[in-house]
Amino acid sequence: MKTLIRVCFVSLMVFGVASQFAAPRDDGAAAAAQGRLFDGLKRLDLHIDRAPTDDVITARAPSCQAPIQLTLARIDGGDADTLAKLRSPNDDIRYVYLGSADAQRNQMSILRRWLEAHVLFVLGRARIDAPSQLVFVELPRNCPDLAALPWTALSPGS
Amino acid sequence: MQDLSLPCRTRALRWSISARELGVWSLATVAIGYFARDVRAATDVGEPGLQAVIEGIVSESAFVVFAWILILTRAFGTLTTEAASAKQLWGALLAGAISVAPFRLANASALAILGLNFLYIPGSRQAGRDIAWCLFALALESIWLSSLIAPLHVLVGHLDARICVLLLDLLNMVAHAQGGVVANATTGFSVMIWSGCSSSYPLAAVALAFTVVTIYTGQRPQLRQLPFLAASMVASIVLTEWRLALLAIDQPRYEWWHAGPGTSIYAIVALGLAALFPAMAARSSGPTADLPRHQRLA
Repeated sequence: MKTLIRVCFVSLMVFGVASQFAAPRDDGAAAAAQGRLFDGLKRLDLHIDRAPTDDVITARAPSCQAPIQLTLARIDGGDADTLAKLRSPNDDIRYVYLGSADAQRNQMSILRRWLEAHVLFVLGRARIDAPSQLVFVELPRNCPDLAALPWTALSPGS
Repeated sequence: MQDLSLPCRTRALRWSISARELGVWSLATVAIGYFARDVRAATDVGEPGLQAVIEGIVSESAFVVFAWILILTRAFGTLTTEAASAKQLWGALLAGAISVAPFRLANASALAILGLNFLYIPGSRQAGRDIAWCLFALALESIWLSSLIAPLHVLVGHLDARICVLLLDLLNMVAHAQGGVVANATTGFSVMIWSGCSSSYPLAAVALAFTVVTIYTGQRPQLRQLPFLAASMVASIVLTEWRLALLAIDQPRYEWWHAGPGTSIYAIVALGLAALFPAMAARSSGPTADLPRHQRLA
């Protein structure tokens, strides 16, 4: 009996380690965010022009020759410098996050949406947790029709 | 005739392990579940191996590691060698089984159940209580840092932003708070106070540090120590507010305090404050004559 008790604890230890290492990884969440981004691009009928290099995706619309650049950016503003380097004066910007697509980064709106989605997830009302990344989109100004596209498809609201 | 009237505890000896061994097994099981998450996080970043294991363990705060060392040494050194009861055995197995689940909250629940289990070890009441206090503090810290409490930290972050504006005003800078965002108008720099940066975030760690140092110094957590615990928390909040204000000055200072040498300075001051208040509480309580020296040091 004593041996059985010890074997039970050793088994629990092994299961404990195994379950931690079998749990979904953080890069799985990042992959899910990128998957949603690609799904959104398909819905908007945009074609990925170039495979992501440095996490920047280049896409094109059938109606416009100029490239559209997209990337996933941290919602806490931690990579604001990187985004600043990406920006071009000839482009319009869209910050897309959980059903909103704004020309200006609105941290309050982002925070409110994150909080709502996170609370819904914690309460079991939403299937996925609030993403920690928003979609940063650069639209060429010489194709004004692109601005009218429903960019929220890249990060749908809950 | 004497054999027929053997007490229950003696009969239990035939099949059960000792309370000390059960304590060590159950603590080791829950501790492995506790640290496996950090070790996995370390292996996600680097190569798996001994280095990742060490990085995973030391990534926790110094007081978490200290708490586990204190708990295990107390269990080894002071728990009774009498046979564990069936209730304790089932409690320990339940805690171990819950800790298998790869969620922070599951581990917190396991720590709390194990703590309750240690409260009722016959023959080692005081050692069991010491271990239980540390386990409860670890459970509180796990829950406090979980995503369940994150909305609260975000809301506190809004309040922090307002306090930050006041502190920047003391430094002759004009700043505005909008939600959790501090916009420094003087330098044109702004920071967002996220849940992990809010002043409420380290409070459970402060409570853990207080508990561990109190028990290590041979004291018992008591109501009369509450003012010292409150003072320790206020000191932590003030320290965090000043750090946030320094982060919001400009980009170079943000880098210095967020990822540069400033992080070490902050950590050292936080560590010092966390140890100072329980030490003051111990001093105000008088000499630790209630426990023998070997028990105080565990």
